[in-house]
Amino acid sequence: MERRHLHAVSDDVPRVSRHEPDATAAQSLDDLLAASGRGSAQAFEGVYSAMATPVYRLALRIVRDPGMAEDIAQEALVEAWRKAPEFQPGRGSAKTWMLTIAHRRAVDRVRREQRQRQQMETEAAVAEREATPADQDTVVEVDFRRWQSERVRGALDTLTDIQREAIELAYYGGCTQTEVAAQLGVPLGTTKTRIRDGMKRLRDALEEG
Amino acid sequence: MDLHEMVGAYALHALDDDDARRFEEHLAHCDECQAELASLEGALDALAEPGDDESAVAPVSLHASVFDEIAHTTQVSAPEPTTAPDSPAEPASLDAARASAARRPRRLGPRLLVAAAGLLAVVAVGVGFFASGADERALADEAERVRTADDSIEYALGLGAATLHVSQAEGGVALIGDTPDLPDGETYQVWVVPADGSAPVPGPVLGDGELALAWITELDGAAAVAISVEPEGGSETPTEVVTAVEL
Repeated sequence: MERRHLHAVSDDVPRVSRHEPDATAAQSLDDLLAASGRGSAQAFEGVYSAMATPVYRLALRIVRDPGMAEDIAQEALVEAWRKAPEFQPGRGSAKTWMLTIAHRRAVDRVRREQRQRQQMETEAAVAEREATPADQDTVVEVDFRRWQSERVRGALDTLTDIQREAIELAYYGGCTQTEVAAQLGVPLGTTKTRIRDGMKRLRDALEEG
Repeated sequence: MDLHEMVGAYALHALDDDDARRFEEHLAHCDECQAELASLEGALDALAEPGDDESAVAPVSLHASVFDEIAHTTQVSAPEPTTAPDSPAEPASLDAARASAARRPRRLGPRLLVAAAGLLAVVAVGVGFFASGADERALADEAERVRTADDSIEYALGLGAATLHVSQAEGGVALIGDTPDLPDGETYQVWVVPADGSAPVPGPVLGDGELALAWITELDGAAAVAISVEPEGGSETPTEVVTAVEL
């Protein structure tokens, strides 16, 4: 921690806590999450105020149910607190780290609900084994565009249709690559390549823009 | 199969559990994939950016529920700063988040348990463990032994603040912490799910609230430990699995 020079801390300033930096001071989200990882619930208040809404919105986009989204946001934020000691500032942003947790939780929920639905729909375990998940998917046309900011929409527009659709189905739809392949009617191998190339192209387009 | 090809799908959480595991094994040794994954962070952030007409904000009630829960949530311990000389390069933080997400308990759909349940008749041993104060203390000691065993692994359960500890050396599992309240007449029950597809082995029933409990049992060939909600006294086959941890 080279930044914390000894002379920067003046003795006559009352400290909220002897062990933690003052979370009320302007601090970057990365610092706040790192301080949370050392057990400061006060720092986590700062993390919460920056990230609760982005986390909730992301969950809402994927599960599309406010109650469920709140549930997932809670799980994700508690997981972020629990794992905060593993977060290492300077090796990726706190924001990405937290959104990754939230996205994973939301996708897990979508898949779990889907499995339960399928289980109710099929009587026998044998029949269940034979059915591939994608066959049972009702194809719901969802307009993913309204979930994208102008900047991101512009970048996604530089992708081929298949690349863009594959990424949207995976990221917002919670589909596995196998399900994406089935929905788009392209082979799995092709799907993997499209997703990978699409992500690289998206990255490059965002960097240029 | 070219595992490199899956890096994009992995970043998007679009791999099923088996593929994700295979890819993570590959990722640990592949500098190229680590670099590519790290380079996608910005694109992933962008996908998570709110849309232009999106105005939803986190509900007010979320704050209390998060801070109530973290008040009794134990944090993981910080990773060791040093790495062995021949260990693969430490993954970038995105990978680290992914890898730790992989250790997070996976909620098995009830499918696995239900599919397994019909195959073998099981002798049910739903045992109420909280007979006396002395027993409770003995169990707490046992739980502590499992928790502190050299090979003990801690798993979060997503079940209140309770954590599951598994030690092959001690041959047992321990449940420690605070579990969420249950309605009267219901109880939690622990199960070991065998990897060979045979029926889940019923374990002790436990109440809600603060607990420290150990279950010394056969863990060889166990695929998962599951927690279910059962009618009082426990069941022979799981009724409602609320969480499960893959071992």
